[in-house]
Amino acid sequence: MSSQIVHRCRLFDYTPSAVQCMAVSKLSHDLAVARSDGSIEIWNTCGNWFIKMVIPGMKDRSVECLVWIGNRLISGGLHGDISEYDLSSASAKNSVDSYGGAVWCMALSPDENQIAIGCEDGSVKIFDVTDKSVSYERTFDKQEGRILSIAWHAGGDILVTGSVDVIRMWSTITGRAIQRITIDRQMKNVETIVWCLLVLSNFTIVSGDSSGRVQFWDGKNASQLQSFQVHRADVLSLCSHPDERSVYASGVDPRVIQFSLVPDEDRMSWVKGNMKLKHTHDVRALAVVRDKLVSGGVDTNIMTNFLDKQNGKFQRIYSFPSKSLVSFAADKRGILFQYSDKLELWSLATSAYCKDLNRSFEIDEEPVKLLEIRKPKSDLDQIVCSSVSKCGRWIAYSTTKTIRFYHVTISNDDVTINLQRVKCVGLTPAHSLLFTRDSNRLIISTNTHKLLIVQLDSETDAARLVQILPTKSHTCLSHLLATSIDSRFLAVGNLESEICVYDLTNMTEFCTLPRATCIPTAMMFHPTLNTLLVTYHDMQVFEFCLTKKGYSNWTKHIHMLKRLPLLESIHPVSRGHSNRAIINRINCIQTDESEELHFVSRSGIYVLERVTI
Amino acid sequence: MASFGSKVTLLQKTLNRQFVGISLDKREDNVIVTFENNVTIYDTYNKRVVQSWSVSRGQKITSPTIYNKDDDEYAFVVNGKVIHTNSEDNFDKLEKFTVNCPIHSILPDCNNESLVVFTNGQVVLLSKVFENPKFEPQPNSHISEQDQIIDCQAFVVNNQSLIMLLCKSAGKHFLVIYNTNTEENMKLSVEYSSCQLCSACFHSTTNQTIVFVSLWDNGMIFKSIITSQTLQTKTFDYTKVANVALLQDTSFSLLTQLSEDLIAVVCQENEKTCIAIYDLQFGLCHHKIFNVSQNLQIQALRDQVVLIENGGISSIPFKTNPVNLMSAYKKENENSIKLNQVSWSTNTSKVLETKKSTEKHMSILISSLDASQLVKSWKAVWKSQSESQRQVFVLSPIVSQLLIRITDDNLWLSELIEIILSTGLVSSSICPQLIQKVLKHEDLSLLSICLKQLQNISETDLVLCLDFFIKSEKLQTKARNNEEDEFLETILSLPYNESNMRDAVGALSLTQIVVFLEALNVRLGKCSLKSDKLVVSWDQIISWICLLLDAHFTQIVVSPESWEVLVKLQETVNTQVEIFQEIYEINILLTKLQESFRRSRKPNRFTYRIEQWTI
Repeated sequence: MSSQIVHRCRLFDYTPSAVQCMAVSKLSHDLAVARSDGSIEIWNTCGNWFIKMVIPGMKDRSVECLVWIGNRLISGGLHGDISEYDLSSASAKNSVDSYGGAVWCMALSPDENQIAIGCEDGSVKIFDVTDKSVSYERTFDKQEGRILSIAWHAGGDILVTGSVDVIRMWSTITGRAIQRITIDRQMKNVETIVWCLLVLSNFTIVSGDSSGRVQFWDGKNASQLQSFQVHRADVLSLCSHPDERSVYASGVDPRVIQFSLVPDEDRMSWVKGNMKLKHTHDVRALAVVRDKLVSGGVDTNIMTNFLDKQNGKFQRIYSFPSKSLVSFAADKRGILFQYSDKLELWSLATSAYCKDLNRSFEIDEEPVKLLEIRKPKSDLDQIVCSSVSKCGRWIAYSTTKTIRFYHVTISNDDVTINLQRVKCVGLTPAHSLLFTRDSNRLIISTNTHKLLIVQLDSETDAARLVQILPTKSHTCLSHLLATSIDSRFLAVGNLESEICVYDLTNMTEFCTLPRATCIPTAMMFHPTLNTLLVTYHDMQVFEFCLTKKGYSNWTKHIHMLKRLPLLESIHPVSRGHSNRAIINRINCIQTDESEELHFVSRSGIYVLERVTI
Repeated sequence: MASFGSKVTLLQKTLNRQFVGISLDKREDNVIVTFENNVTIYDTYNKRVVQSWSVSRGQKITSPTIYNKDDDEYAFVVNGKVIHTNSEDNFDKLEKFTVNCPIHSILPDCNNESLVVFTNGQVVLLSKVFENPKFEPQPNSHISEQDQIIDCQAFVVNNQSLIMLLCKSAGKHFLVIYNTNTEENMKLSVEYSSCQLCSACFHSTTNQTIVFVSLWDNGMIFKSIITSQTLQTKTFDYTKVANVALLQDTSFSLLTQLSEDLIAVVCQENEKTCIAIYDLQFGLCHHKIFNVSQNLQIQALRDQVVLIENGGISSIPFKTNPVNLMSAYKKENENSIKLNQVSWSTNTSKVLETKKSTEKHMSILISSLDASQLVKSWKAVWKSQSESQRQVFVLSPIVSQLLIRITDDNLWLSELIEIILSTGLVSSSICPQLIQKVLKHEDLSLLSICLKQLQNISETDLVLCLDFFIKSEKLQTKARNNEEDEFLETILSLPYNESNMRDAVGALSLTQIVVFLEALNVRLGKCSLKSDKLVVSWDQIISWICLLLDAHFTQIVVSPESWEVLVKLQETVNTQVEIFQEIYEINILLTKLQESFRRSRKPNRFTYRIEQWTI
């Protein structure tokens, strides 16, 4: 039993963005989620879902459609570009013009050699995506009205597009429209916009339109099979079960509706089935990940439902970033909040006395916003990472293009604050930042797979790059950094599950941890023992002894007894409304006889007590 | 007035389940039905079960499940002492909070807070119970261990949250009013002669007063108004509403309030069970619903009367409109039920016992034929009376006779009629021929005063006025003046009984209807614009259009002369539909924003708190 003083504050005004569209990688089953702020999240969908990586958005750029080609991710948006992303550095790799204005929709050919895009000017453009590049190939006959939805038939020679009041079928060989389906208007003067399309392998075309209808068409003779008025307003997204016997639709209401193919006398027909009402607002995107239907929309959360369980458990995954946006200056009782365009430094409140045990304390001094650092307006990129040193004198942040850091002088009464930008030559944009515990060094994990060690001098307000260390992997990001209490050791974890420990006294690699099958989510050097505690996304906990350069006896003992991941078998202590989430932080609280390890996740705090004697 | 839809069965009858209660869900169309072992959320719009869950064997739900807005979850009480909560996203994982004292019920959404009412009368915020379930609720000083809480409801009056606890002790009933803001308690005895209370309900009127309606074992229904004054005097008066024939072997839920004016009561009519709708203002029966089972409980939820019959749940949608005397009286005649009406003008003789000086003026009013003398005497009599005396005086035979005399064609004193009408207290029942006489004299200004000042104008008279307007409208289609516009709008804005008006409007010819529809069309078009000049509201115009089309449907269908106006009307309606679609979207947005605003008003939504955690 340990007792702690906890500051519960709602000073950080974090606003998640709505889900715009989603795409699932066939290879890794990773889920790419585009948000309304233009950022793209890459979700790990194996075991506990979490955000592996965020590709930050840019001001005035939207993502309307996403496509995975193997391990490549391509997007299109209203700015009229097709962008490919470098997933090893979480940044845009290259962009090509659509040559047709805003890109409304995108579809990948069955052989994965081409992508087709629907443009503002009413044209369908084909881009070649072989040879690790995206290059313009040709344009189909231009038609009236923008192309708002597109789908490729599994055969590869027919492409189906949806526009205002019409669905067209195109021959990909000739580039000409071969069929045209006119969509009925519900009101004479109101256009019917086909927002989404799906083509099943038996050439059944499914359309969702602005009048709230989901319609099934026979693509062979362009005739309507069935029509369902299911949504109160626009149908925005459709997706099908892998066996194509079920289709799911969502739109401008919180409902996700299932249609099932059932035998009806001598033929098969579609019937409206299960309705899922788990969202609170419009559902803009649907996808199927393994055996789950994934949905997302304006309420910003991602909902998963089992495909084959009629009333199976669903999971709501809240859209909070897996990576912490908050850092602490313990000596100054400061707390730094990272927004996409600014940083805020607040001082913690102080309490005079406890009003009632187990209840809240009387607040003596209210929290104060000490500082706000806004990125320059000329910089269109979002802030990727930030950190404040323990002493509170140094603040650093990085966008995808630049890294900036500042020296902060705060008087004891928090009245006079002086902020001075510190120039340092040789720095490149960072993916992660961390100050050592003694506040003498800044560790930068760069997008170019290097570790930069910057020496800081508080007296002269100067910073100097002293060492560049290569990271273990050149194909993925190092997303986790941790330093020991004495600032001697630095641990670096990457998305390929590699963890390497460096000795900062001689700037060399000290040891490497055995590679696990899962991605590390939190690391902590033990305050007294010479060990490194690591948690993985499957909720496993390992303790690595730096002296022995092997797992500690505690880890060996625990893993001998338990087959299940350690934290999988225990319940968090605090009341949690959400489902199980990964561990973001590890704390160690020591008493005379025992110590408690607190594993903090969004779903609660897991507490492990171990005797130290 | 109230109109009722057809009965819809929500849940089939099942004998082996005990009904606990029904409450509103977060979605407007949904209701939460709680049985002893099961909770079902029913979508009344789509007529289907949305969700349902049960408690384990051996457990019993003892209070109706409520939707707690604060935490966006459902809460109900099991075995009297355990609050279970579950949210939609966490349906299989119940959270339990065991309390030390038995709970009577949980009240949702009182001043945006949910409250827990313990059987000892203590009322505590649900959020506080969640924070510390083990605290000991202090018993209410007015409620002893033997006392039983029968019903409890929460109201907000003048920004004060009041909890009404209706209790029973040794066959006697009493009401405990608990103010959550001041934490004050008040006990009021609920007694009437030697009768036993059978059922009761509460209703809040415009957040100012609470109306307590009680049904007694002799069939009497009383209303009592609880105001801040009542709270000071600690007594309330019983005003008789109606007398009904009660059923034998009944439950407590026989009475429910539909609106500020209307109540529904389960009673007997020709040895058959029925639901009778009475208005509280005049005590008249407006409607009766038959084809209900004998063992019946009723409860009003939003715009539906929920019927609980032998474990089955059904609902009847209803719509209420304000009640006026004329419509209520005609409706009562339709139902041909003889009722003991409230006597509200019995002491007219007392009025005559005024001072000697006024007696002289009275005799002039009764007998004189001189215009100036009559005006002078009226003014003198009126001046000499107090406000309450005036109210009784205008209902007296003197005024009635006077009006009959001065509206006679031979005398016709429009000046005095205007003066009498300007008091605003005259009812058309005093002089039923008044409007017809005014129309005969084609005195438009006096007619306008009649429409504005006269109370309870009958539907027939309104149609006569319309007839008059249509004639003038037809003559001066191009050059209507403001006075006529105002006149028509005054007619349209007056209350009426729908069925009576339908009959009355039937007397108009098709040509008149076409002219009237054109006038309504113009006003409907204007309604979308921001016009302060319009007296008549949008829904009043819609009601009139529906009424006219309904009453003359066949004629309109077969007569080509009405087509032109119908086309125009549809164009206007289409424009309105487009506008209202936009407004509907704004409404959705505002509702969502309000929900989030409500959530953020949660008291434990602190900005900063320092706590000591013991893990």
